[in-house]
Amino acid sequence: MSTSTTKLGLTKPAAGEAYSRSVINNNSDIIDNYAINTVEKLAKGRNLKTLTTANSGAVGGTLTVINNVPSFTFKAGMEYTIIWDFQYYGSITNGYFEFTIATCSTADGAGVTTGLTVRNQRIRSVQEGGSSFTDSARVEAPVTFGSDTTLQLKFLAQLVANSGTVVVVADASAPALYIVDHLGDQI
Amino acid sequence: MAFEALDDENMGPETVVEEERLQYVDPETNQLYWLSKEQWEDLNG
Repeated sequence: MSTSTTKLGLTKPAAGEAYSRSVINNNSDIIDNYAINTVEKLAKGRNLKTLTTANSGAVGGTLTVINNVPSFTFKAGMEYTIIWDFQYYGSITNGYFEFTIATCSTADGAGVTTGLTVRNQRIRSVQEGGSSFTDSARVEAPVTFGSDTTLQLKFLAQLVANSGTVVVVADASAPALYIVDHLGDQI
Repeated sequence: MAFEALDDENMGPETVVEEERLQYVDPETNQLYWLSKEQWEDLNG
C-alpha cells in the first residue's frame, strides 16, 4: 500500500506496487505548487545598490532631483524597501528640509519633478540659528504592487520653509547609498 | 572628506568645500549626474 511523504504529501508506492503516470504527474503538480507558494515568495535580497561619490548642487526652495534610477521592475505581490542613506550639509534659519523618495514613469526626464508619486518623506528641521550644519539622514519607502510594475525611482530634496540651501555630500569614503531590497511575500 | 573641518560647538562644518555643481542627464541612459562647472561645460559645449 502506498504511503505519503511528510512535508508535501507526495505518493510513495509500496514495494512491488505499480507507480502510474498519473501518480508521477500528481506528484509533479504538488512540487510545482509548493515552489510557487513558498520558494518564489522568499526574499531575494538586495536587488539594487548604487553609490554616488560626488556632492549634489546646492538646493533651495525648488524641489530638485538629487539622483534617479532610470528603470526598475517591481515583481507582483512582493514587498520592497527603497532606501536612501546619505549625509548633507545645510544652511538654514528656522525652517526645514524635506527629503523624498518618489516614483514616476520611465519616460520622464531624470531631472523632471512633475508626475511623481511620493513613496515616503523625511524632514530635517532647524529651530533657530542659521549657521551651517551637517547631519545624516535615511529615508525608507515600503512599496508593493499587484502586478509586475516598471518605474523610474527619484530621490529629491527641497527647502520647504524660510531661506537656505542643502547639499547632499558624498565622496569615496562616505558615499550616498541608493538601495532596493526585496523582502519577499508572506508564505 | 567632503567637509574641511568640524565646528566644536555645533558639530557641524566650519567651512565646506563649496563648488558649483550642475545637473547633467545622460541622453542615452536618462541617468542624472551632478558635475562641476568645467565638466558640465565640456559636455554642453
